[in-house]
Amino acid sequence: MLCAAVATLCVTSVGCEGEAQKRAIEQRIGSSAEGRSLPEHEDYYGSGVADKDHAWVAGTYGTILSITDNATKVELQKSGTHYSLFSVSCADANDCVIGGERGLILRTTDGGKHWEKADGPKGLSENLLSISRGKDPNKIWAVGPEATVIHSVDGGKTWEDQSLHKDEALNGVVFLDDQNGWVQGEFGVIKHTTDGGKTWVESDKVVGLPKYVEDVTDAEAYHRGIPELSEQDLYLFGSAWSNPQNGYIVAAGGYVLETNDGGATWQAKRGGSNSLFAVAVPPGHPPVAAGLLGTVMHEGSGGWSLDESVASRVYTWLRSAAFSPDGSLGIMTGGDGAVLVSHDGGATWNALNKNLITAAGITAAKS
Amino acid sequence: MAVNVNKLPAAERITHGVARFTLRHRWSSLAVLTIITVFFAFHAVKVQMYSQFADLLPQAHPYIKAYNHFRTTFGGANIVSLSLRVKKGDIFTTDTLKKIRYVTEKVDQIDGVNHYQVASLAHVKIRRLEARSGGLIKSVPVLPEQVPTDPKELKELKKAMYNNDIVYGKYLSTDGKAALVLAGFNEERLDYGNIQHQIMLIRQHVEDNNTVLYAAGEPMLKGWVWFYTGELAEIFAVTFIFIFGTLIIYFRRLYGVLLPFVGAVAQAIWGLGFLGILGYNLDPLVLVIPLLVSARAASHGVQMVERYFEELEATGDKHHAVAIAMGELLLPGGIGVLADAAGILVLGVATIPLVRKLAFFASFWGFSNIFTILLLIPLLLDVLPTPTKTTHYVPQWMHDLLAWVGEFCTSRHGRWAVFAIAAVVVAAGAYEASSVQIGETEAGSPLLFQNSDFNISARAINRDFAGSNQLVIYMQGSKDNALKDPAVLAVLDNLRHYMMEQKQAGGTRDLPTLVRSVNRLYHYDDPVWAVIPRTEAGVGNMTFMYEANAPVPGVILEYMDYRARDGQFVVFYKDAKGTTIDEAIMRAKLFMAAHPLKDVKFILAGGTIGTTAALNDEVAYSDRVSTVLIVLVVFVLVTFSYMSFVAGGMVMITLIAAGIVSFLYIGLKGIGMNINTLPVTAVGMGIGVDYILYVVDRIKREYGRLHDHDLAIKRAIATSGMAVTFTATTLVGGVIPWVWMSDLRFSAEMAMLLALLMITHWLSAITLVPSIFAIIRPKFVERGAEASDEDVEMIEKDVEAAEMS
Repeated sequence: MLCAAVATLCVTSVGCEGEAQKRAIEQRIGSSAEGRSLPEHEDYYGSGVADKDHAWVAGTYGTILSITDNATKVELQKSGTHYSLFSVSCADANDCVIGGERGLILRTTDGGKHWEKADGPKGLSENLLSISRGKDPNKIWAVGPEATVIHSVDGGKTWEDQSLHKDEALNGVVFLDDQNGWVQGEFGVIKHTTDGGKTWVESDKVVGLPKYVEDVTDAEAYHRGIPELSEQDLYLFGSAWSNPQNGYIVAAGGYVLETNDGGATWQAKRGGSNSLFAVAVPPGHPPVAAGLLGTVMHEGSGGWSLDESVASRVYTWLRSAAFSPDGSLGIMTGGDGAVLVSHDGGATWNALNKNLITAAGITAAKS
Repeated sequence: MAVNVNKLPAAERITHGVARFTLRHRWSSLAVLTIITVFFAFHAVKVQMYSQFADLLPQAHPYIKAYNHFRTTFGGANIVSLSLRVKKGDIFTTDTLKKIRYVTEKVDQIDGVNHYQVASLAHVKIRRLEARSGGLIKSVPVLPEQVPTDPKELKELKKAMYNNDIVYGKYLSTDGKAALVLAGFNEERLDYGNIQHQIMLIRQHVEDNNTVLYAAGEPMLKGWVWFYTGELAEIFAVTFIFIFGTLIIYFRRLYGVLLPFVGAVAQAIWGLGFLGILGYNLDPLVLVIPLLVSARAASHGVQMVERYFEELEATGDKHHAVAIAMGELLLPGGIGVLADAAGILVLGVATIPLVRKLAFFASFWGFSNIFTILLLIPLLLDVLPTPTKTTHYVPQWMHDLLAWVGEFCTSRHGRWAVFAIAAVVVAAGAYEASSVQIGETEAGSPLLFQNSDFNISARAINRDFAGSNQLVIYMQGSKDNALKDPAVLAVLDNLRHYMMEQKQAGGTRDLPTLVRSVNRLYHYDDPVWAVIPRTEAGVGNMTFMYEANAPVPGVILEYMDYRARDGQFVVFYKDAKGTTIDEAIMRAKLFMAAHPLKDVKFILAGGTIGTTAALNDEVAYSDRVSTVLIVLVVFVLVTFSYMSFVAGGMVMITLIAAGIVSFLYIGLKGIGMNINTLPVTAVGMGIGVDYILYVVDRIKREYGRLHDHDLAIKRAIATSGMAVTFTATTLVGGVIPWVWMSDLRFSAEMAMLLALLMITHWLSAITLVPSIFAIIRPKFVERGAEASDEDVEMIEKDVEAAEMS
């Protein structure tokens, strides 16, 4: 009787129940204690579109999403890093290069099934914020803070240092062919190379800037201490060219610099006050820019205007814009899992189904 | 007078000695009891009723030690969450924004608030930084001092808030329809009733057809408990009326009604007086325990009076009746009282101050039954005039039912049938009991019903925001600036991702996210600069800028101390269910083990999740230990009293059966074991053991007269079984009103649980125990049988001698 009673006591002892509860949880979470990417919540900084069925976006915590089948499928790819990834350039459906935090370079030749680290120039430690390829897709340039410029001639396997060694952040690079390229960044810096990055010349003459940083009268500026605005105050981000003569650079404060003379002069325009981070010119379509607070701007005959449809739905920043070579697929990326898709050359944008992104994360976690 | 008591077991010798002494010196005994009662009454008036948050925390648990150590720097876990939500549109209207400001300012004025722990999008310390061309950076409150009226400005404000990582999703819901206001309160003595009242006043001011104010958090919960204790008076009144009425119907005589109440009141005075001497507060959450103990006192009183009337009816001799009643009931009653008291005292193994205090004062409350019931009532019966009516009212249906039960339990097949049924029920109960969870099983609080204001609010707040339940993982550095190490921040970022994998995790507050946000702002708000700086100096710049730009000091304390040595990492959860807490703690521990840092040590755990985890650990431990202790104590008491392992074993089995029934109920109702259920289930196991003891003792005594097991069993069921049935129905009926009258779900469910336990003990007393007796016919009932008449004679002679002297 005593033994039976003690046994019953043990079975009903709440300590035993508590253990069963804990064991069930242990089985579910496993023994790995590494945080994984949560793609529906990560921030996406860069995008690259090879064609309408192959696009990639990259962002925080080493997150790379492969977007395929005309943006109907999403896959989270293993990057092997937790560093932030900023810039993406894709030559075709298999060949992509990504620039990231602290000089990280990733490349794939199999469509992202495997991403490998490439060695940058010795001593490279700056973030690689923008990447561009020449006419020859094996020729690649990447830029970053401290006037970092690096160059590869073998599709990203190896890199040489072409840095300018100045205290100025370079936020964007575009190469029109294998020799002609443009970089822009902090302090209104705009530089041009005609020899594939070996040498660079300043080409930053800007006209049409307003007198003050804010839209105020002289009296207001005096009373409120608003400084005057000069070219050196501009903080330039991304750029895009429709042809060697016509290009666009976007900047903080909502400025857009346009050139019609191959960069000899830049006309400052303003479509709003929200900073613009990225600009793209889809073939056969007007340019489109993206920036803070869900700002998407289209250039029309009357200048730059806000895309109200996006502004009313998207409340996060948008940092990159990229199109397929034929303009049939456009991707914009932003904060908190925001990925926008356009199928009409940037005229309209819709959010990529977030359930696809979430599912991609879950599938990757299980594999 | 010399008497020969050598034939009596030791326990009986003691109880009979006490009975003789008391009745011999009846007036002195009464005087002493009166003086002691007055003494306790003097101390009882000092007792104050209030709740203290710190009393709920197991102080010896490492999580609570950590919590206590760090809360002087980082604040505590006693936080009210308020959410102002609009039904149509969003909060970006002048009127609604002004209401958010109003709520923030008003809650900051409530007594006991920690002003440094008030935050909302309307609070001056919640800022946004704007980077402009030209290097211009402006630091402004998220909500301007002048709330905008221009629709365009309101639209811009909305955009700005949506783009602010500190605000969006944390103080502003992602759909823009709700704003969160947080207010931390001190943990020392708080007037929770006032907090609840003030917040209701705020609610009245801001609510309209389109606006709702939800309020949740630990202080609100306690405030609601306080609010509903107002109804306790009504419930007590109903309980009192029911018990009083039942006693009148049953006894139909003044003594039968009044004397048990006199005993219960005296007992309550002793209990409260002891509480006053100890200097403890009376927490309204545990009021159900003293109520139950007092009800038990009435139950013992009824047994005593019932036995008195039984003898009075047979002999017509008051003194003889008192001698019989006292002589026979002092032992089973005493064991029952000691079992009740011990069942409560074993809770003293807990390290939760509230439960320890309850263990000490409530066990004394129960123990005092020996004096206020088992001694006082016989003395009163002895000195008060003999009742003129001696006939004893016995409900016929009860008489017939118990007669049938007696026949059935002693019949050849019936005894085995009862045993088999009991075995099946216990087995099923044991199976169900194994699924009982530790901790709460539903979101919100199990103290209140799911459709209560508090739980509706908790669900709304958890739906709209990251979660009102926090887990704080503390970080202790071995040197200054340890938390500025970029490698440490990278690990914390990894931790953030790992913890956020849990489904119930809604967000975090952590140093890497802060540093990233500030770094971005100082690079023209370019999102790509939301990275951790590469150097300690770089990180230090960011934290310095954050603190330096704040209009109130101490904003950095939400993340780390001023020396960047100690810090906190906070995860927000949608609920505080036991499974949520278990997974959160498990993840934290796994991560800490896998990522040891050289200069920083992770320490668990603060926040409601951390403190509740400690509570749940304590509940699991205390329940295990107290259950074993109760069973052992009762086993030892009964075995010693009857000098029989069989007697002890039988009572122990019925005790375990009762315990299984309580777990069965808890499991089927989906109630988790937590600090609220622990004292009740522990106490409940011991409650009603005396039903069994009265029947067992009566069987023994009847055997002494009848020398036949079956007849003794039937007679015991018919007599003590009758009294047990009556007291059980009275007490169950008295407790049942709590089930539908109490707005406190905890009280309602515990009342049901207690009723079930008493029913289980009653059924065990009149069916299971008699059938076991009929099956095994234990030898201990035959021991001392011939002494039964002798001991009564001894007492009577002592009483006569006292009267003559």
